[in-house]
Amino acid sequence: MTGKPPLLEIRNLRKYFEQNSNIVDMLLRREPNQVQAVDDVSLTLEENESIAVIGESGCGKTTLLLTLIGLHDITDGEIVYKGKSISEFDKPDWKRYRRNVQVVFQDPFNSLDPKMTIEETLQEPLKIHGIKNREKRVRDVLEHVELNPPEKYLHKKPRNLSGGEKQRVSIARGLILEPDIILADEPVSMLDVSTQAAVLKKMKELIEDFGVSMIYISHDLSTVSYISDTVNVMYLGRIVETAPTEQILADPKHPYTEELVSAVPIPDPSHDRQRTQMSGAPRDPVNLDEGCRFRDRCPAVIPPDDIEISQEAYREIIEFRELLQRDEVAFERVMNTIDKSYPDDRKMAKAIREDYFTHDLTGENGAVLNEALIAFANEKQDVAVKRLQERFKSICETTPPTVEDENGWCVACHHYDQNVADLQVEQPKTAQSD
Amino acid sequence: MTEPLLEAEDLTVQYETDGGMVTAVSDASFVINEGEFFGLAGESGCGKSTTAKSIIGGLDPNGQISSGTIRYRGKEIQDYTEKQFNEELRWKEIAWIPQSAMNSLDPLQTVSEQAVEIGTVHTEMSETELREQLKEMFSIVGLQESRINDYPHQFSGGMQQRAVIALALFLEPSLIIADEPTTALDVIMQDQIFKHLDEIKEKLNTSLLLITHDISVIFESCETVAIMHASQLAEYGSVDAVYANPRHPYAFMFKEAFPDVREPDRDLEVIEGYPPQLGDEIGFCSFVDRCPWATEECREAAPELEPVDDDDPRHVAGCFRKDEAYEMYQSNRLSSQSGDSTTAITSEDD
Amino acid sequence: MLTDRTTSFYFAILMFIVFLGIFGPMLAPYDVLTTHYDDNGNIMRAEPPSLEHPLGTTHAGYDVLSRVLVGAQPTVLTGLIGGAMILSIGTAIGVTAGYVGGRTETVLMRFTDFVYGVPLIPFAIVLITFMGVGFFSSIFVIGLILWRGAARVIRAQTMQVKQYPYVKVAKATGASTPRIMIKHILPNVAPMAIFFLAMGVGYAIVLQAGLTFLGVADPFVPSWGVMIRNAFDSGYMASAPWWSVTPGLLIGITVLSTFMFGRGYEDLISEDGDSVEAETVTA
Ligand SMILES: Nc1ncnc2c1ncn2[C@@H]1O[C@H](COP(=O)(O)OP(=O)(O)O)[C@@H](O)[C@H]1O
Ligand code: SF4
Ligand code: SF4
Ligand SMILES: [Mg+2]
Repeated sequence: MTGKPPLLEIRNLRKYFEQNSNIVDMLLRREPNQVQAVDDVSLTLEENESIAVIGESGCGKTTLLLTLIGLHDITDGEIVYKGKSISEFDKPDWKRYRRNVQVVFQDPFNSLDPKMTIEETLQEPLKIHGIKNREKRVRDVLEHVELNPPEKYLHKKPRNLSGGEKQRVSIARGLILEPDIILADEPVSMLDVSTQAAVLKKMKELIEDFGVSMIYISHDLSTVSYISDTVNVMYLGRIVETAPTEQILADPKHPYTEELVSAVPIPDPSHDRQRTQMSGAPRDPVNLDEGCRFRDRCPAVIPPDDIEISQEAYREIIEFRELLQRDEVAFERVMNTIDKSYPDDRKMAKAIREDYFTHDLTGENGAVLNEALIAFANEKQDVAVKRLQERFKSICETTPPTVEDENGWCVACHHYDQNVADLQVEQPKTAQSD
Repeated sequence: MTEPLLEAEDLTVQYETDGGMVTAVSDASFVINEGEFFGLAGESGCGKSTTAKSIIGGLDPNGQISSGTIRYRGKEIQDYTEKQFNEELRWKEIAWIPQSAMNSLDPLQTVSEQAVEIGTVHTEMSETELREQLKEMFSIVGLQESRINDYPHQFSGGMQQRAVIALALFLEPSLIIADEPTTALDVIMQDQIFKHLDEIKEKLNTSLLLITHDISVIFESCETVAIMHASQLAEYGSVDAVYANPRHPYAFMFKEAFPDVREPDRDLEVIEGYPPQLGDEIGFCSFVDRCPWATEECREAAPELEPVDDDDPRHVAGCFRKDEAYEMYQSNRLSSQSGDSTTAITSEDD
Repeated sequence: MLTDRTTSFYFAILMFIVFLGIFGPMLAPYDVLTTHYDDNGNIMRAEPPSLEHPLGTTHAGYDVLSRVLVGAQPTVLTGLIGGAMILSIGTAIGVTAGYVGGRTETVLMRFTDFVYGVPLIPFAIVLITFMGVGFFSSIFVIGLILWRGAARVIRAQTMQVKQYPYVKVAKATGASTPRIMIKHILPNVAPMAIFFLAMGVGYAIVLQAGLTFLGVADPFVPSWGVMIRNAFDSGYMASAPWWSVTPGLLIGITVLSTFMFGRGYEDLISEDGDSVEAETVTA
């Protein structure tokens, strides 16, 4: 490679937490549960670029950010700043990094020290880095974020500022060291719209006029579209799609992105949007196995080639099998609905089937499902899982590779294994119809 | 279908505070029809929650309806006692979905126990009937019927919110008041919940008073929208009319402040300044300090809601310069789009 | 600086008590160990207040007012030193354990638990054998033990403050651990620390009196705590309330004023004029 290395490069970053294990686990010497908050994430941030990371709550966005600013240890992978990995940083490197990489957090109400005046808050970073001419810089930065006149704010404490003003001070603090990179975690989600617009505008200006690069983290696609050139969609710790913002909004490829885009409300009563088909929320990122993480909710999950089954019926089976594997099938609840005087495994199997399945399965498919359910009724859970796995094996149970087209559009979904550009997802389009 | 269900007329609500009287709602009038989804929008503190609470007799102890009337099915309810609200209205007629579902369910009781308790207080139904009724509502909001016997902690956040909706629905009220029901949730969860609310409307012809600061949700899910600014109703009418022909400066600026995924590059409107803190008497337009078109007149009296000249007979706006302002705004915006000036409008204010 | 009325009021009280501590002995009308006799030559045992003895007399015929005035000095010293020790040790350990975490926390908190297990009186007696009987050693003993409650609570508070984004931002900007503790944690746990200071002052005064009676300090220095103990031990507590009420009230007022002044002062330094929104008010 020639030329300058990218400003910030994240390579296969992993951040796992160990879940607290209880005394029984300890006695049995079980491995502690792994919370896979960030799993194999790669991102590149070029100079003067603004990229976004979006996803539902709990998908690992904030962990990613805290890892980037060095508040979490890295489990695996690399963060490379201007060509040097942070694991090789010496003290001066860290100092430089901490000066050049700044964060703005979501919550304007707790982002500022309530005991410090605005002036003290803004002077802190300068003092830490031994920078002179502090008073002027504080004034200048306040003017930049349009807190005018600065004198009015210098001696105030945060509690006497409105939410929008606080968030501007947070941004000012992020800017005062003239960083190369700002990491912003849902910086406007707690603000009123009018303020939201002002803060977004300000941030956009900063990117454009001051040559700052930004990683913008949010679950709100509509603000993302305003501020970032590139969007990375994250689901349960992994990036599933990366593309230029406008393209991803117009033509999302990954089934999850499609759901996400189509769920954004449009401020126009004449616009007719279909409600989401998805149900539930992402599962806990604990001890996840191989395979696509979205498969238990994916409306486009791919049935095996060699059996005859409708996509909808297949989805139910996959969903159920995931529950079974995670031991989340509500066995007792279903059992309460039947007459318990004759513990008959067929009856139980039937009750479960009625509770969890709406589509008819006939022939071999139906027979296998019944076998599995009877096994489950007899408390042979692993047999049930195995039976279902053998018959209904999806390619989605292997981790999809990330494929990239010539324009840098990346997708990780088996629908696009061959080529990003010319493959279409075979599902009823949930997307816009105007 | 277009029978008025709830009518508020010149509603004024005030709070008594250490610093004197605070007016939270000032002279607001609006009508919610049967089977109508009515959205109330505005920034925080503008009086949305206060309006809702005054309807259901849930004002904080220092708050009171100082003047005006609220009629429910033609009957005045603004002077109802706690007992009357409980016996005649709450749950059976008007139900409430609070912002935080987690705090509104009793963690020590299963959802069905809570429903039975509410049901026995407010109706004559038997326990079995009540359970059946709850099951039906569970299936409408997309929860498995058998889960009515679960404890709140057995549900995830989004499911809890749906359980609360089911609970609000289960005595088949005619009006549901939902105060920011999805603000804390992400878009997919929000969409799931509105999907269920749509179904409820279809099946039960329920009315909804939806309070939110997110106008895109209202434009999408409601028929009618009311926009409030600092205690005053700025504009109100069908979503189509208000969207196409907004007249009150706050209404059209508010609308333009929202990002729209379909136009990521559009300039967002910025409304400068802050809403004022309001004392006892409000004899002026509460938007005057933030309004680029304000004149002396706007400080001398509070504008009345007056009809806007378009297809929607209910469409009203409370601004002295409602037609001029919008025209000026439009032409300004057009010229700034063709020219290369960056801001859409500049304040004429000092 | 002290514009707030309540705060100034408690500040004035504290100043008055310090004033008593310094000048009390000079103002005392009588010697504290002079037994007074009435006209008939009888000892004035627990006489109620009169013109000569405005606060009455003790059962040994001592003048209560003089004892209160002379006793102010040791009392103020006890409160000051005891309170300061409790505050500084408790805060230092609590903040360090709470913020640094890990092994440091484990060691410090185990040590705190250990101190919790130490019974004050026997410990005092053992320690005094090394340091020698005396007024100051009795205060030190108190300070060396009573910080434990403060340490625990302040650690919990610190852990809470540590979670706030502003601490994370400071860390991400490169602030060192001591800097974060001093600039961000300490000011934010100050309200709790002030509470412990006030409680510490009170405890120190009362416990010092208790220790005095075990022979750990000189019982002839009539601090306010000692006076109450005297009254109690003499059995005249109920029949001669004037003897114990004044020192009791004074201790109470000292504790309350320390707390109120501390809180008011703390509020005052977080004050900074009106909110910006309020300035845009037109109504
Ligand atoms: N209990 C109360 N006492 C005094 N003022 C209150 C009280 N509740 C609300 N307010 C004030 O009334 C105004 C409207 O508040 P609210 O109805 O909660 O607005 P919204 O729901 O639109 O955010 C605000 O200025 C708020 O501070
Ligand atoms: S890999 Fe399979 S489960 Fe995953 S998103 Fe693609 S189709 Fe859906
Ligand atoms: S023009 Fe006057 S009445 Fe209309 S919104 Fe502006 S200030 Fe209010
Ligand atoms: Mg509200």
